[in-house]
Amino acid sequence: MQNTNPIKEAEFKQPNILKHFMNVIKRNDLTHSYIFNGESGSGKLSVALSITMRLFCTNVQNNFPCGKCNECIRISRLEHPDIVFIKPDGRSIKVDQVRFLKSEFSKSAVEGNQKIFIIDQAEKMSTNAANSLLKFIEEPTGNIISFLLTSHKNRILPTIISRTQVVNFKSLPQHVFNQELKSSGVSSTDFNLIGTMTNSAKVAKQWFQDDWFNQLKKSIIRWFQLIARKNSESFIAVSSDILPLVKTPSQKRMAVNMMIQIWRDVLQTKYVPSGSENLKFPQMSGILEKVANHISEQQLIKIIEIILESNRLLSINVQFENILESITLQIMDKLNY
Amino acid sequence: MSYRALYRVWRPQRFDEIIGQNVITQTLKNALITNQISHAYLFAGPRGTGKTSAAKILAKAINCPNQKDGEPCNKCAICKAITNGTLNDVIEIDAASNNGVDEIRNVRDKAKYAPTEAKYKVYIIDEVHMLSTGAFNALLKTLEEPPANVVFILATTEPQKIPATIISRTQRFDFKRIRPKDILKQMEHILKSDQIDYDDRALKLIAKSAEGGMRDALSILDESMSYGDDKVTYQSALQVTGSVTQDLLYDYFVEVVDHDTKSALMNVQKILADGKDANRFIEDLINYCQDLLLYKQSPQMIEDHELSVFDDRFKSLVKKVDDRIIYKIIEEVSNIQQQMRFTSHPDVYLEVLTVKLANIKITPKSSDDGNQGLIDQLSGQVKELQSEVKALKKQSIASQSKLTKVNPEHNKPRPVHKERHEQPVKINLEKIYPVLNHATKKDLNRIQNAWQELLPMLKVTQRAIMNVSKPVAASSDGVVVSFEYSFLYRRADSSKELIQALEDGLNRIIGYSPTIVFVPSQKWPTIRKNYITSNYLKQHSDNQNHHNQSSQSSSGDHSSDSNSKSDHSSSDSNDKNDPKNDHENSQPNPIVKKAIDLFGNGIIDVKND
Ligand SMILES: [Zn+2]
Ligand SMILES: [Zn+2]
Repeated sequence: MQNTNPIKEAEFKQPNILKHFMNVIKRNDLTHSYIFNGESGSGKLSVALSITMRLFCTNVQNNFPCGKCNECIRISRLEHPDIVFIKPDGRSIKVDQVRFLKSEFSKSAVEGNQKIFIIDQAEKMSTNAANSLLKFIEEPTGNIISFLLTSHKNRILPTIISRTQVVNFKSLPQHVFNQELKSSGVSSTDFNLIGTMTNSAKVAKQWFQDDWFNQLKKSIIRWFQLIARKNSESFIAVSSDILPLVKTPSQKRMAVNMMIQIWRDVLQTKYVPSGSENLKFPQMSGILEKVANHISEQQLIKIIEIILESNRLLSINVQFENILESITLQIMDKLNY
Repeated sequence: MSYRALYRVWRPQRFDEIIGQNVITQTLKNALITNQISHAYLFAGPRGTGKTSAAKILAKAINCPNQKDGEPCNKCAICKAITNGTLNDVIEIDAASNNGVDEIRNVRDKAKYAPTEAKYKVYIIDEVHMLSTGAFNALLKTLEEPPANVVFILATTEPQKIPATIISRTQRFDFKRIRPKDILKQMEHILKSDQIDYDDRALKLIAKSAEGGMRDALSILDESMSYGDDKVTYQSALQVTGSVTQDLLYDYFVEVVDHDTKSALMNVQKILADGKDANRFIEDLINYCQDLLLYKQSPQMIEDHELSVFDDRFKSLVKKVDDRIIYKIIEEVSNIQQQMRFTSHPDVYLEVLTVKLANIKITPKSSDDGNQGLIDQLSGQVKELQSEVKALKKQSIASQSKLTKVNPEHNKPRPVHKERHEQPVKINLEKIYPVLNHATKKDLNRIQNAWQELLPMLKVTQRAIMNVSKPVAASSDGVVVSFEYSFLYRRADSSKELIQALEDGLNRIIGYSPTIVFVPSQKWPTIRKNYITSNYLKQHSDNQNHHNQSSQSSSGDHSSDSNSKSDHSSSDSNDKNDPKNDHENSQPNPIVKKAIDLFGNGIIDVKND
């Protein structure tokens, strides 16, 4: 499953947190339950696995796991019998999965006396699943440590949060992420835009495997240019340019996100013209400046709010075509066609 | 793994060690001392407030052979076994993972058998609201015919999800959110006894972010310690809670108020680039605004009650910024907060918010502050009172023949409104009087108790308004709430949403939603006095002398305010008197009695005015 070495990845992405935990283990201060909160790609799983390896490794070196012994290898492949890894089965983590986890742990540890469970995307636990985990997290029988990984801590049951220690994972510093992107062959003009969509270079790389990302970006830029020129062709561009490119839910989210980001660039240009290094579409600076000069504050804020609001409709299964068309119509209306 | 989380190490083992729930623990101890043990208890309240701890202590105290003053000894075999969860007669059930009927049936079957080692079999059912309907029915059957020597303790964070039939068979205790001050004290106690260094500001920050739960507080404290190399530093507390420093908040606030969009945007971008949580920043910002408002109103009060650290820069803002701007900011921020909860673009929302905030403008000069405003208000009040007195006199004379028989509720005095013009504050006597007609001390006490619990349920903006409110009279279906500041009164009175939230909240806490009427506190004594006097007039309309006497006393005299205001909650009033007496009895005495019933003894001086 996991083909890179978790320790290396953790060291690269979250050196401070990794070092912190290695020391915590050395002091014997590890507690029984953690929530790792941070964007996907911020290294939550690799830190959790590194901690696990440190606990099981038969050949600890300089307070770090060796990464080579039988224990370390089985852990990095998620094949160790004393580690249970759960992730959403479909859209949610169901109560049966938590029951399975608990039954696994009611047996004594298979090999040692230490057991670890990791729940990925823990915010997707159903309320029942989360509730049934409560007691278990608080008073685990035996030597059990739990790691709940999430990118949306706010969606986790408060009674669970209060029973755990929360560790906030910062998003990768832009320069670290850029370095990753660069080595994946991504052009530097796209760094900022990609940064708003993922923290994982691996994911970004996939977007560039075919020309898909560039095509989507071009279609959004064209849409923006048409709207900026108050050209009602923009409405047609939605179905002719953008729609054919987006199929999956995550592609839909990316399309709307690009719309948000390009208008956010207008906001940046209007108020912080010196901050051009933050632009997500730096190649567009000329037209951005023009739009920024002509648009009123009220119009601009309203437009961004329109797109943000529509973005929320994505999760309640409104037809995507309708969403984009409604965004376009509303913006045209705000700009007084 | 040897480290045990603080909240587990410091789990209370005696009632005395439970923080912030003195009324409950004292009641339980008294019951134990007098050996009055119920078959079923319901412990309701927010997370981390001590419900499960209290349940286990109760289980121990019931069974401990050395129980003293209602406390378990924690040394005998029984106590120890219960603490360790190994005593067979004390059964802890996690309803969340056992929500099936079968489990509860099982409980029912087994409950029949006498305890083996202890005196009482105790079932602690945690998160009991998670039981299925079938399971509730099975539980109900058991509670209807409770086996001897079995005690059920049901604990829940969501009592409103428990069927009324179950609740009615239990003795209910409502655990309150723990005050930040008490949380702070407990953390200090823990750190001192563990000889751990700490920064005062860090503890205050943690106490504030714990939202009334001791467990939350201790978890955050744990985490801060592990980052601060076993010290609790301000930096590590900021990191763990994700808060920003007061300095940063100040800078942002000033930029926004000065309409410096650019700097404010750059500031917010930096905050996010530092990995701070946008939601947390929004919370911090609202708290900062609230502190500003409260400090404006009563510096002393807030320094006593709140845990914020107020530096000179903060104080300079208090002087500089208009209330209305702060209110506008709070309004905008909480609007965004609602939308932001489920978004994947918190940073964009925050930038939009920043532009909006930096654009807030108000028309200069309000009548809320400054002496002229106050004078206008007072002279308006005087006029209003004079006209009310006139109206009362006229009315009571005109309608004296009818009044002797008719129920006062249908014949409340109607003040004449024509004579007033441009009053600063409108008061809804038509709504207030019906409440007063049926007000009792008992109802008032109940609402006052609920009030403390109610405030944390509100949205932050609403809480800011309601913090200075106080229930001053209540009947079985209505309550009068007074406000310390008239501008807050006006805000509250014009917000349907707020009234709705209060009604819903009260419904959750006390099981019904009374009609809520607001009054500004400086008018309350007069309203109250007028009411009592007019009642008096009604009942004694045959006696002309009394008119003069009483109308004099109702002419807006404020001298008794300071006496009566703080005495509303005194509980030594007598309940002997039957309100019916008021209509038949022609002695002046019942009115005073009624007054005492309504408001406590402090009102007694009305008669002597
Ligand atoms: Zn190893
Ligand atoms: Zn004992």
